[in-house]
Amino acid sequence: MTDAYKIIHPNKYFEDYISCGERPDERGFSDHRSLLLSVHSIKTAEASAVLKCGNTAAVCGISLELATPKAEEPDNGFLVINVEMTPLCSSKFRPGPPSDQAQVISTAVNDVITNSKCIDLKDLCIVSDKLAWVVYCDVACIDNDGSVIDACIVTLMASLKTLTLPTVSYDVETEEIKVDPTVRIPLKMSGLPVATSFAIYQTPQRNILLSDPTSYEEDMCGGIGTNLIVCWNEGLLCGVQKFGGSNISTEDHKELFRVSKMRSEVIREAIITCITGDTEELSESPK
Amino acid sequence: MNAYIMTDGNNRLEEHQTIAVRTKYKSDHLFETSKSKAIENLLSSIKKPSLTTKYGMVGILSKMRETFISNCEKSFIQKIINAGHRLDGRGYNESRKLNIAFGSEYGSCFVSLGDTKVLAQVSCEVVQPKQIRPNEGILYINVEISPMAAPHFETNRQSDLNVYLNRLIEKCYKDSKCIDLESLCIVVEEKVWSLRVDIKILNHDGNLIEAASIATLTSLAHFKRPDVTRNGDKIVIHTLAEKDPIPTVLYHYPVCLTFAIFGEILLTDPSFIEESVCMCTAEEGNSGGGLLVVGVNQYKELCLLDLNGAAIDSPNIVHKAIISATERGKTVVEYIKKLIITDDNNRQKRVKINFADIITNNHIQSLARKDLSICLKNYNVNDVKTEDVEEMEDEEVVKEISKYDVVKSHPHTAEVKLKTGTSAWIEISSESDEG
Amino acid sequence: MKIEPEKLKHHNLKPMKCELNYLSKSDGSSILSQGNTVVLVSVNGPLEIKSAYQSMEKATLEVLFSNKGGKPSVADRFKENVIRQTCESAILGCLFPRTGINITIQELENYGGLVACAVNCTCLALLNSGVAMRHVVAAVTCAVDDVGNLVLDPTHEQIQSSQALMYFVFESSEKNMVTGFTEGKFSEDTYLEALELCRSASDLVFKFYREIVSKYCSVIG
Repeated sequence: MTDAYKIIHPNKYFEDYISCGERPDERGFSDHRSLLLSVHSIKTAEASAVLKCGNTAAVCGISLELATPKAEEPDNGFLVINVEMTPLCSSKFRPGPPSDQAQVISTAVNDVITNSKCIDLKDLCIVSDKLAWVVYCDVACIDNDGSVIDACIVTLMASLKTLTLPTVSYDVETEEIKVDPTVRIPLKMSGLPVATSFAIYQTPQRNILLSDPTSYEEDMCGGIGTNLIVCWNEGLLCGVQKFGGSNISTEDHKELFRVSKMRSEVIREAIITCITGDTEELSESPK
Repeated sequence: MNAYIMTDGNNRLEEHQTIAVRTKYKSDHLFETSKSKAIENLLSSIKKPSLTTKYGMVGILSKMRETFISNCEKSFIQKIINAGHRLDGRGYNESRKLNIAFGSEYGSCFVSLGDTKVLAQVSCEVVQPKQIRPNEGILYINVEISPMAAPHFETNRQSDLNVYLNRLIEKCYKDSKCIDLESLCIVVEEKVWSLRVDIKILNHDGNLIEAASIATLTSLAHFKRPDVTRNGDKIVIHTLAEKDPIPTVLYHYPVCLTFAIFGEILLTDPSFIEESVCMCTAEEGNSGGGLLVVGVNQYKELCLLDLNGAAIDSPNIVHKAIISATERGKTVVEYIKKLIITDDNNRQKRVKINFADIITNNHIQSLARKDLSICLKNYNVNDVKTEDVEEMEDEEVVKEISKYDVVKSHPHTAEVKLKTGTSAWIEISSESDEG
Repeated sequence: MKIEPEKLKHHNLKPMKCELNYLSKSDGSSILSQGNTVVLVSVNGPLEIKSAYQSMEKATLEVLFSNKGGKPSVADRFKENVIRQTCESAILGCLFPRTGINITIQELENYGGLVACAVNCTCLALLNSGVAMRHVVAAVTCAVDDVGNLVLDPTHEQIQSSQALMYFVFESSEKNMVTGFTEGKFSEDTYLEALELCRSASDLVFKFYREIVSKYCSVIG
């Protein structure tokens, strides 16, 4: 019965829930979904992580390569982040070259990493102007049920945190490269940026902020593009973005920051527990 | 000299066929004779099917006419042209106002020819040379027509016109070898400069080829690349602050000029509607109309000849077009050179140059003023003065006095204006009287 | 069309210059300079589009951002997305279902604040084209310099030396934020302070719009 109602009157169905102060999946407005994170799950990759947040699932694998640095920036290595929205994850994505939407998601994830400065590209350089690491981070979304950017960033961070670089010796005279995969040093990282998405639903009285929205909630609020994303790293904001959709006031902003700050700490803790703890799985259910 | 020609079964130049002439004449004296000979040869060879036709170029302007032109409009345009008038009050041999503005970077310019507006930007990067030409730089030309130019152009899809335009500009600048590509070489087989010219069509009001070619030429001549020093194996690219940049070497300055052919009448710098009407008549089987593109350089040498839509029987019309093109080509090139020198002086005096200067302060609506000026032109009594004009049909070519004045209007812009006293009206009437 | 210096009582925006109807073939067009940054925008529509892109409920916005030279990049897609999403909330698209509105943006000069200039120029072009709109939008840029002070509408040099950069777009009726995005790291308080600063500065942009439109109206009678 409710299913039929949802299909026939999607807007009304959603409105009824919201007016009762509840969300269709029985969460409160500022509650987020429980998540499940696992690292080292792909053995062929240098580092990897899998995340399931509600129904949203994403996987990240990292591979390494050696290359000559760019002539303009001889001291910098390369960090190449690519987010793939496979047709598997949602019917909105088609096979073939990445759609505009996928490119926007990819840019958003990239921006968070650059803005938070959590990785110094100079750490990836081995010999200036001669040899540097290229870190390829491939993030794939397996199931898209909202808040994809959050999920992608969590998997990416978890995998980067577990990444170790083999030691490399480089002979300047002979230009010989020796890689020793047995001795590995972990990649230096400053902080762990965590992003939280919010969908904004406009009612005549006030705007309702739904944290960690599902894809159904995103559609009701104007599509994934209009999500507000707040990203925290070490107690500082490293990215606030929102494109179009419903308008928000300063009070809403304060509320958003409070909720997202709390969530970022919880997730940070989850990532660290996941990596340090012997248990490879950790289920995190807030409140 | 190479000349390629393509004919149909009836030995006539037909629609969508193109003559391309790539010539390099040594002197002006030789030019006059050899040019007319070349044309005659071309036209006579059409009659002989023996000429090898080895030609493979796209030259279709079928998408040109997207806005439907009514019969009414069509016949009106043809009627007034036969009566010696043009829709915007110009003479047959009169071009629209040419305006060139420079941007803050080297090699960026904004060209407007009447309402046709084009932006060009040259950029450079160090790349590996091609295997077959290890000591030559690379010139890449890219023309883009976005929906900004006119609504019927689609986003991210190359129209036929786009391909045609790109090829024509490439022929005029790459194939005529006007740029010294060898000077762009840094290390043989390893590093050369690659120049990229991006031409963006902003408003399509006819004669895109002329506007685009002026923009390309201006931006190439204006462009300066960073200086490079070799330090053992390494090369150091200096920033503009460290060392003065180097200008590009141009052997000659070619420009493409368009003529619309209406039977025996040649229209210089056709507007959008004139182009459309002219191509329409060609599509309907009336062989009298077509577009002729002539590429000439400042030495009055022919670099490119391209015919679209018309079937020309008499060599006279091509001859007429070339004579008129060489004259205007020279004026345009001189104007461009002069502007670049002024601009260079300004830059040395550290005058700020920016595209913001093309926004005018004294009026709010650009188009409103233009319409007004056309109205005023038609009713200005002082404009009407009698003056004899050289007959175009004459076999003997007498040098026409340039009708244009170069006027400095804004700090970094200059205009080519009609000399006061030369009236479009008189010309038209004198020519139509004879016809 | 310059805003007189005495009118900028509390805030300083870079001088703005604008011309409407710059292109003859487009339904609406505008060229805007904010300081040394110059952008040209054309708007066409509502017009017929491919059935695959048609929407039953509202007009589809097609935004094309064209950079000055060089190949199109992923960063251009990002700018297109910002402008599309912002305009979608401003245009009354439900009046023109199954049609498309085409916005083409051409960068002419980029000396900082390109996205803000593009948004403002797009808004003026939309006003010029006569597409029905819910409200107008104004974009303002703000930078945080290396000691943590806020710099409104920064110049190219100020952006280079800044540690964070924020872009905000406000709507005209409630002055609420429509779009916002940031670069770099900053504290929560800095963000909120910048938001308020830009919100009040957006008044200058709206005033500029009003000036332009009133002059334009007197021209068309």
